[in-house]
Amino acid sequence: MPDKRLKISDRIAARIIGGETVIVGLDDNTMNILNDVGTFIWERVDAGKTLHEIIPEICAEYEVDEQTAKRDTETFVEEMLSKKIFLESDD
Amino acid sequence: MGWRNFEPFPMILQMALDSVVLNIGDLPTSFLFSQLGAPDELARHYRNFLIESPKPEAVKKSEPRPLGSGPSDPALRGPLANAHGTEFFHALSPLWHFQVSTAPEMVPPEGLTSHDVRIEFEGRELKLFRADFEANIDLATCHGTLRYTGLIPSFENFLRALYSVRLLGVEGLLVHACSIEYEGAAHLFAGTSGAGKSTIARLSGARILTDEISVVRRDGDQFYLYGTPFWGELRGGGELVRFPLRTVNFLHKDDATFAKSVGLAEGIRKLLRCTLFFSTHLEWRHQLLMIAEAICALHRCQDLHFQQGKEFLRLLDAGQAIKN
Repeated sequence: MPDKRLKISDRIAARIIGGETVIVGLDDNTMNILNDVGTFIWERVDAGKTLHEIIPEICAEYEVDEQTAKRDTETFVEEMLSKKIFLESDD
Repeated sequence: MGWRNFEPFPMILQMALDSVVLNIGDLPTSFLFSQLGAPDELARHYRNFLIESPKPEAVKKSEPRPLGSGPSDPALRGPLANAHGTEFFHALSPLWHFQVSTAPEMVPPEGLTSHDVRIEFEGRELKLFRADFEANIDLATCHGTLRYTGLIPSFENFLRALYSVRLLGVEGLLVHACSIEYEGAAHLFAGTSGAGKSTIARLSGARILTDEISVVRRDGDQFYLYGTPFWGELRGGGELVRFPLRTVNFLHKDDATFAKSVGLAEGIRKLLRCTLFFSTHLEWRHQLLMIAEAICALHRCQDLHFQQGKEFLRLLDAGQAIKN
């Protein structure tokens, strides 16, 4: 997964508000809110970065070791993929 | 003295027999019926929201904004821009017209269950479907057709679907919420079924704008709550009035009465959870999100825990202590 490029689904509407991201699904009316760390990852996925590129940035920003950052980020991404908010990019 | 005894709604007789104009949230809609007398029941049901057919120059402009301009406050504007949505919002007219027919036995569109609403927008045509109504309107002319079962619930389902879209163009929402006017300001109490909307309306002893579906919309720099004909348990008739919105409350029945302030993102999530919206159109969802953001950013949002009694009213005053 670390080298896989992700993208944000075009079936959601989202707004970053006060450091948090409010996400509204179009097809199932679900709503999710990402905290500041989730929003940090969201912005980088939106910028086309891979997890391999994102994880060192998380370590630097939140002063966390790489193993913890990798584990937590992958768990988060898995959940976003399962909710079809993130998709695996073909690019 | 006799005629008043025989006709409880004399105003209705003074209006055209085959048409009604309803004004909900300052957005009037005209319904022209193919059968004489057909609208009498509707006119009685919506008597407090009937207006005389407005002359074009007399209708208050709704100040439609292109989709993407977002809330009026520049600080709350988003970067969206979309030609499809822009076309829709430019097409908003102060008055929409529907030619109405009834069909007691309606066949629901394929793939639609009895409670589903489908809203489609193609070119300049807006289509609205449910098992008990179908409607379309040309947004260039603002003339369209409506077919419904002839029963009030069917017509009301149509109105809710229609206004969920129309309000979007004037920075407004239809919300599952009770609204009251208390000391000159309006307060929204949002909650799903069973949350206590009718209970809090009853407890308030205040002027009730609705106990079920609220209309909130911006006019100029201010959001207002409007009286609506959409009622729940209390079955009130509603009033054609509006008051400036002061607080947004999310209801929780409890054995104590207190309020906890809600953060912006959480407030938006809670408000949207109670918002009636049926379209899956991406740009409209973005607009919905921005309207909710504006409402929550400009007003106090709080989780309101309440028990029997009027004690909760003190938590609606500005400056009252709120648990954080």
